[in-house]
Amino acid sequence: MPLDFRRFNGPEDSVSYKIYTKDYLKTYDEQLKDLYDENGKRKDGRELNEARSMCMFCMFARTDMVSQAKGSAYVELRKTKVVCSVFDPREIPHQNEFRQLGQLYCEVKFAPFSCPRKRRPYVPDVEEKALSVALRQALEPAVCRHFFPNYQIDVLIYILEHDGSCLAAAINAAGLALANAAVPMFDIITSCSVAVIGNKMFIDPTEIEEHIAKNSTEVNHGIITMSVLSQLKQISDFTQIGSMDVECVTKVMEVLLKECEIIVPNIQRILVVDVVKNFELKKHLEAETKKREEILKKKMDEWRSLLNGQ
Amino acid sequence: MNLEEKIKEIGSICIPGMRLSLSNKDNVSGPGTYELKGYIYAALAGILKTEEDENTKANIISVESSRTPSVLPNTGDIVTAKVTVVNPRTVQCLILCVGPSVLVRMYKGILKKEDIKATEKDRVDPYKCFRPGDIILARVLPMTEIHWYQLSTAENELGVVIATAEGSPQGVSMVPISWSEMQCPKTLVKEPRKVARVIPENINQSLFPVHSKQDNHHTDK
Repeated sequence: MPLDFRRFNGPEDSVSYKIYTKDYLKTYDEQLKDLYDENGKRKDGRELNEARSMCMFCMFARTDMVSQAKGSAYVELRKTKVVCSVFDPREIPHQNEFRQLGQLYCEVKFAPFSCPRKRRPYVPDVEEKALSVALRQALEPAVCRHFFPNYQIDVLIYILEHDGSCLAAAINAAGLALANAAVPMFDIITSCSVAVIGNKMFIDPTEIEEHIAKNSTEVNHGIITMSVLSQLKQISDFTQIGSMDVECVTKVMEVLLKECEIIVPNIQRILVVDVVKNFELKKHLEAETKKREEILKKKMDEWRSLLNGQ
Repeated sequence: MNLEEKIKEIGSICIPGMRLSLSNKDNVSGPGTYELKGYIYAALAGILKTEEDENTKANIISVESSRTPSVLPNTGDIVTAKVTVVNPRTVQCLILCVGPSVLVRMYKGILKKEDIKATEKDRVDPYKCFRPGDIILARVLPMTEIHWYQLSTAENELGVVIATAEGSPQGVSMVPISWSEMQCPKTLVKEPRKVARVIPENINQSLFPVHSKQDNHHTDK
């Protein structure tokens, strides 16, 4: 990673302090043992098959967070924090041919302070570009693209803190933001991810679990993220990193389908609350305009009576 | 619970993907919904509205969202636009509203010389019909170019609605004196425009009563 010259980098042969910590020198087996204790509970107290969205205070999501955007959403899965903003259709730059379907322009950006292991550069790097492509593939089946041919809708994701399941949180946030922006959609989209290490499945993995899953040498290791259109019962995207055999993949898919369905009532509730809030706001504005119109009408009557009196 | 009471007060709330009804002769899908495999589903998060269509006696099922849905002007819609550039051959403008809903982002529209008036299409000088800064009503024609909407004002009801005279203070809009001329009330300057045949909403009907039927009789004579 190129040096950032606005920061004080220290002498050229300096080395990161992290190589002197106890965690760095642990072997793979020790790290794996760290992940879960004898009762099968993970480091943050969850069960192996407990997703963060299930516990009451774990998944927090709200729409209407960014005032400059047409629609926006903020999703928090314990420590993973994601903000999404959606804008109105705009002309596609550098387009020459007529296309029947509109496009989605997705951009995922990590905040420089978001990852625990390294500092993110300001320029989008390979991982961010890969996430952007994955997000776009997941959202395309959900949006009614024939309503804005030759135009593109911008979906911008900013990850404030990365503690695992970033793509899943990003897809959930993007689905909420698109519904908040009144972009016509075929269905609401929910997503979940699973980390597989050997014969253990960690649902909704944290960053440490994801890191070990990616670097593991066991037969089955990796991360699978899946997003589902709930009412239409269609899988909109399936992303896998790592190496797994077919039985493992099918097992994980069944688990993920169930998990994605569990999130649906939460998302529905948030959208309903959003509609109610907007309705209240509209009523309030209409009451205000009526009051002002009455005042103006009174003044008009006054002037008319003066005119007629003259 | 407070939320439940509010929900009951509002009516039926829809979220994208909710199945609303069967799609047949009696139930037609309107804006905010889509049709799939014989059923009508909601496409927006909003409030369900059913209206009866007078001609076909079918229920038009639509979902109304409190924000303007992210849709673009369709062919045949009447749009409100602001003129930016006037050329001898074309008039460029920015589309501000589609029908009654205001757009968040302005789209570009273009008005060709032949589409300005319904009669005498060739002997039209765009500079005598529009000036930069005018607000016009226009109809959207089928799209030929990718990012520009083709517009047309070739009807009596379309054309300039609000215009300011050159040299007049800003905010003083001209009053139409005929279908092709407008006059500024302050400086009394007359300027040529293609005026739209609209009854402005801010005219108080009791002060300036508008008898449209009587006017027609006068013109017939």
